[in-house]
Amino acid sequence: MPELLLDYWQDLAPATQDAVILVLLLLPAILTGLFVTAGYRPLALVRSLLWRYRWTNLMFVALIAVSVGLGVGLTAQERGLRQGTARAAEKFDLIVSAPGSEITMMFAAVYLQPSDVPLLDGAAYDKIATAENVELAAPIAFGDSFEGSPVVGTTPQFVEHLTGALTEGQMFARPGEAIAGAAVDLAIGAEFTPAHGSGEGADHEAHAGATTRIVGKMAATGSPWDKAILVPVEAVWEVHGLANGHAPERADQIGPPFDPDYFPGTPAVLVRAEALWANYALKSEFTTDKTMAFFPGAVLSRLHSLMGDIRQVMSLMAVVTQVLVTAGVLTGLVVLVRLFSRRLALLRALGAPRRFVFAVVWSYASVLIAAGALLGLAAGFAASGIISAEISRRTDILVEASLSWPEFHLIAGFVSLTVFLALLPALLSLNRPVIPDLRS
Amino acid sequence: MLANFAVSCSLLAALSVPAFSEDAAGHHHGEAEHVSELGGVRIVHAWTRATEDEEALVFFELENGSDKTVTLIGGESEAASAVALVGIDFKGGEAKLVPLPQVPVKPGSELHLDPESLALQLTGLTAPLKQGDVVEVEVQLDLGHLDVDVEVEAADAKGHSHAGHSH
Repeated sequence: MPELLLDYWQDLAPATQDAVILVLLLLPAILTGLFVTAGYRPLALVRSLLWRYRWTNLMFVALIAVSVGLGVGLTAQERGLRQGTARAAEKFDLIVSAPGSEITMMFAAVYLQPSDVPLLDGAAYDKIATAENVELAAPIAFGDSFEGSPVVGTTPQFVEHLTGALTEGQMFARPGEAIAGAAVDLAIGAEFTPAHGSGEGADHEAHAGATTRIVGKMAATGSPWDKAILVPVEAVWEVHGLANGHAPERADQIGPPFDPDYFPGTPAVLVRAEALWANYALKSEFTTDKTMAFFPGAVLSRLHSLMGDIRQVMSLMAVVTQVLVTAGVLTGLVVLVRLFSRRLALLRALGAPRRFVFAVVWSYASVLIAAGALLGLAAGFAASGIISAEISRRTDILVEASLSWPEFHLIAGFVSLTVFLALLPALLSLNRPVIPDLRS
Repeated sequence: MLANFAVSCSLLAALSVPAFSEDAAGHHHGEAEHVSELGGVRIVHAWTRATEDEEALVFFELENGSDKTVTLIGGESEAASAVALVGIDFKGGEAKLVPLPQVPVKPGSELHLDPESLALQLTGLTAPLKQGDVVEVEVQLDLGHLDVDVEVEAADAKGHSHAGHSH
């Protein structure tokens, strides 16, 4: 029987499984509510209690909202960051570079973080470009910049692979022409001179005279490449006083094939194969003592799994915070019930059954908890949206935090647990003596 | 005479008891061979993770020491109803298994089947895999079949316990 159930469960669509989990998590709260309020209509009285002590109630709701928002914001933010960084690396199937650190190379070639890395020579590049099943072997030559935008040398084929058709203008066709990323503040026709290096240490005079004009604009990619300026790799070599990748008789050519004898070197090569299986074969072929081949997606997954461990610790901290706040709120409710003990005693004196008073107190506590949880959901969403925008601004990686099932599950579990615990102040209110409370 | 008979009996007993016990599901519990070799092609450090599920991923290192390209195609095992070559694709941030027809390995190259790239996927496992078990898998290459002892590591293992040792 359990196996049958397990099989049935595994056959369900993921969204259905999540919806079922949500209902199961909410079920204790719903059942408790039905059981406690059966036969009574406590809401009118609850409404008046909420209004009478509105400021105190608002404080309780705000406390719950902050603790719930923390948990929701954390999980939504982490997921947004994970998806954003993965999306930014999606176009980079396989990177081949000189041996070294995969992570350093991934940050440099995929996320355009400045880094000094060794170069692959012409023979190595030629071996990659002419290998079986290679559809695209694009040099990615980074190191120069202009006002914070990395200037990257590559081929027209790489630009097409990265963003498809240009949104404006045309592809670079000669040294001195450039394509601007979607977030680069340079219009078509604007001219600039790249600096050697990046950041504060950049040498602005090193490439004096190498004036470059923007001739096209790329579509947005949601990656640091939106802030990059792409130039022919030949131009990068030429401004550094090197051969331009082609024999003298073909010196005007832009893009492949390159002549190994005139190929000065490139920090990285993006490799795309015709079929997925060929990517694995190429990775194996170019994992040698002279070349390093890696899948940025796999390296990123390793980082994400590390992030996942941190997320678990942080989620635990968020849950502990929620539990602490809940304990505080419930203690507060016990005190609050004392505040309106005279009214409850009056109800009892008027002949209201004990269970009705119990239902009123529990419903009152549950409304506060539910309102706090919903407000917390909104607060968490808003906070993660603001943080995402800030991360996107700082890293140029489009991070979009959105609410999903894990957040709904977290809140459903929190609501169920706390409304169940709210039975406690309701029970305590029943034990209060009627006559002294009436006199108080 | 009696002494000779006793020695013969104990020798016979020793020969008839296998070095490890094996069950019908193709598992055995004992020392696994870390290296399998066929025509200059070696498979080392084959491992999988302990699981109660009906599926498992098998990882190993394939070293092509021959002078021609060798193609990894898939495999067979008594412990599973099917063995297929899969790629682990991380596009979109989630690991997704993609069936692959084959992966060629150039002479002198190594192909690493690991949790971040490639695996042989066992489906329809006949019994749960417990840490310490050894599963026999016949790896299918274009040049023939290679019997490999796959060691079952912990359910959350990230590599073979002997990874990094040279054999």
